[in-house]
Amino acid sequence: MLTRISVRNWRAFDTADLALRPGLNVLLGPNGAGKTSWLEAVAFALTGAPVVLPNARLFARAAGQPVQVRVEFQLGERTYGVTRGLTAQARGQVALECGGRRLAEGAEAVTAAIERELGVPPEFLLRVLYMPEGDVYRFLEKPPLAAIDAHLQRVFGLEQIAQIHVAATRVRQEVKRERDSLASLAEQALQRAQVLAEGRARWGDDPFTQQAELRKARERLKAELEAASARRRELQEQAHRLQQTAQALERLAREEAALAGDDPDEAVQRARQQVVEREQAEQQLAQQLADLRAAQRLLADEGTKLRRRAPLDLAADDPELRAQRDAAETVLREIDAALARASAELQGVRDSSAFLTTQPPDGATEPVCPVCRQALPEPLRQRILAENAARERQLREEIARLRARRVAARTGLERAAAALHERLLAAQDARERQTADAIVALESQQHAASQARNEAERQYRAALERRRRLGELAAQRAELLAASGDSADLPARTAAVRQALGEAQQEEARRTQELRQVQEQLATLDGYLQLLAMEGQPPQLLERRRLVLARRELLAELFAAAVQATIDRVRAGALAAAYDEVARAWERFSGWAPVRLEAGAKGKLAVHTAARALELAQLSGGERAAFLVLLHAHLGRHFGRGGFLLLDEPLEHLDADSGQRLLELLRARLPRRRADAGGVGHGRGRGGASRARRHGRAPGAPALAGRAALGLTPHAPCAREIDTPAGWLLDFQPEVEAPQTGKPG
Amino acid sequence: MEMQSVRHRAPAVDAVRPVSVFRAALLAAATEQRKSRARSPERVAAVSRLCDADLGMLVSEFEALLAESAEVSRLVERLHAALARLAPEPRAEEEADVDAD
Repeated sequence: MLTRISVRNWRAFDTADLALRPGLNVLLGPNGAGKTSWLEAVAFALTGAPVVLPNARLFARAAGQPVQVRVEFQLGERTYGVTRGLTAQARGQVALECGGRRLAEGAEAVTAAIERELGVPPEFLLRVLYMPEGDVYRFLEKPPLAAIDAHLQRVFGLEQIAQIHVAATRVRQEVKRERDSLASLAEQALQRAQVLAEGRARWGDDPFTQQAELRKARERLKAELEAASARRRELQEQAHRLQQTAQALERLAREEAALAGDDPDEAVQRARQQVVEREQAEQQLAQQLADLRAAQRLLADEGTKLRRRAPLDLAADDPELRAQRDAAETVLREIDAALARASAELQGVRDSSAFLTTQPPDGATEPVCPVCRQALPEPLRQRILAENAARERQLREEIARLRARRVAARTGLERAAAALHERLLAAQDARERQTADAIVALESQQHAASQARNEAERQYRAALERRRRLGELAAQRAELLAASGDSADLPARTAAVRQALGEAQQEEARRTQELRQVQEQLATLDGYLQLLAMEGQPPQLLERRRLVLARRELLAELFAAAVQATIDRVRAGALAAAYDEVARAWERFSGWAPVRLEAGAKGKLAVHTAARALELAQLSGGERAAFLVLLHAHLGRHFGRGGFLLLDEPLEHLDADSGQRLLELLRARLPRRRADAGGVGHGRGRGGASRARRHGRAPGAPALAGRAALGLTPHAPCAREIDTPAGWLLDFQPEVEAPQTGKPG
Repeated sequence: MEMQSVRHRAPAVDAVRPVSVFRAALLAAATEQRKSRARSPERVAAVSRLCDADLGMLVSEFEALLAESAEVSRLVERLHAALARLAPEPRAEEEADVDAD
């Protein structure tokens, strides 16, 4: 049982110490108080692995400071203490002690020692003996089948039995092989008598002399075969060389024929001359193109200037336009003079009319003549006014006509200038287009000339290559002829060598055949002599051995089959017994009866009643939580030494009555005076808030609220201090027996 | 040794004893062999010679192998030795005695 937990710089605590009581320990406290930290401290101390947090480094309350956890527990009469740390300084303090004696030091050694003492591996401890918060969902998604199975392997020695099965299978196979081999020997023995009779007839009374002679013949034939093979290899080499020479000469001849033609030096000269001519032609074209492009640039400049000039400015360069301009200017001057005269007269008439109309003489009542200053009679004034008005109309018409003439003269001149400008621009455009077309044509000619030059260069290079290759071929031919002699008798020499090679191959084949015959005779004779040596052994011995091996094979088969069946049945039986305990506990908790548990595919459990089968996922949230608590408790007790069980928020999904029944069931399965189980929770339920307020605490914060809701009576006074971890520990006894509520199956 | 201590401390070991399971399985396998039709005369002879003493020796051997080293070659050697005790090699002089009889 767990007796004490001490931590330093551990999650919620700087330094804290918690002494546990025998039996069921329940930690109640507000969020963030550090309840789970205690459970994690136990799991870390016993396994060295983080459970809830992804990294052990995060356990440290103050980063960089040493973290230390110490857990004390009892197994039987022995008291153990395990200490673990995280920093480099604390690593050396990882140790397991028992009765003041160090059992192990170092993280891995301590983990192994704890596994040995508790009888459960770390995986089993973390998946079965420790039920973290939210395990309801993890268990459904991923049942701890692998952890349980691995533990079963160790608990029941299945690893050893599996090794025994491997050995039994191997023994059975070896015995079977031996028996098959013996059966083959027995068949041979049946033929032995016949072989011996034939041997005696063939080899006579002195087979050993014949064996010696055959061995001598074998050695002689080997030597002769070796000589024949050497001769054949030499002739093969000669024939190969002659064949290669003939093929090389033939290849040279074919290539020379392909390169045949005029003199290679002359061909090179001609090709070179052609290259020079093509280069010159290309250069000429390039020069012409450069000239034309210069002319195009000049034309472009002229065109730009022409477009920018005013049309009337063209009169400076064009005599006809200049004459037109001069004539137009003369007409315009005449018109302007006439206009000036008419305007002056018009002004005089207007002045006269104005005087006669608006300017009477000083003090006079009648108008006077502006010239003579005598009074004008009214009729005369009227007549003069009428004449003035008529003259003014005439003058206005005259001025309008003159102005129209002036505009017409000016417009005619401008039109003539514009027409001239248009003609000049059209001529300029035509010249530019002509020049551009000429450039395009010349570029095309230059491209063709470039291609012609390239082709001439290619021909020149080909002529050079032909001359070089012809020289090489001549040298190779000379070399081949120097090595192989006169080429004229080459076919005859090749035929002679091939004939000799054929004869050598036949000789080699004859020797090979003879050697094979002698070796076969020798092998037959050796077999005969071996059988002769074995003659006289009792054939019943062989038969007896066959019976012995058949019996051994049967026993090995039975043994291997029984070992395999043992592995299967032990595993299934152990799980069935554990599940049966859980089923009984579930009957007491739920009131369902009878109940049977079965593990389906991938270790998923189902609860079978008389009427139906429910998978865990089909139970309500509270039922699932209670079921898993019972499952953890019984698997832990069944397959481990049952020293403790750590439950984080085990009543999270339960109502008050169910929580009470579950706790009572856990208490009931505890041996007396053993601290087997520990749980943490916030303490929820009816009346919790009011009870908390009575004790001057915020609703939902400490522990007594939950205790009251569960109907548990604390041994300690309600008013005791519960701010310290020791104060969170709730020691209780049930007030009433768990009600046996029934639920239809 | 370490495994022994773990095994014997497990509360559930008493409920399921591998040796008992092995004995029952071996008996069932032997019964099945006696009922089945043998393929060869040697096999027929071997099945007919199978007796309770043989099965008892195999159970004892299994129990001894549980405490043996987990090294397969060692287990194979022990099993061969056990089979040799149950079905010893014939000797020429025995044959001679049999012939004389």
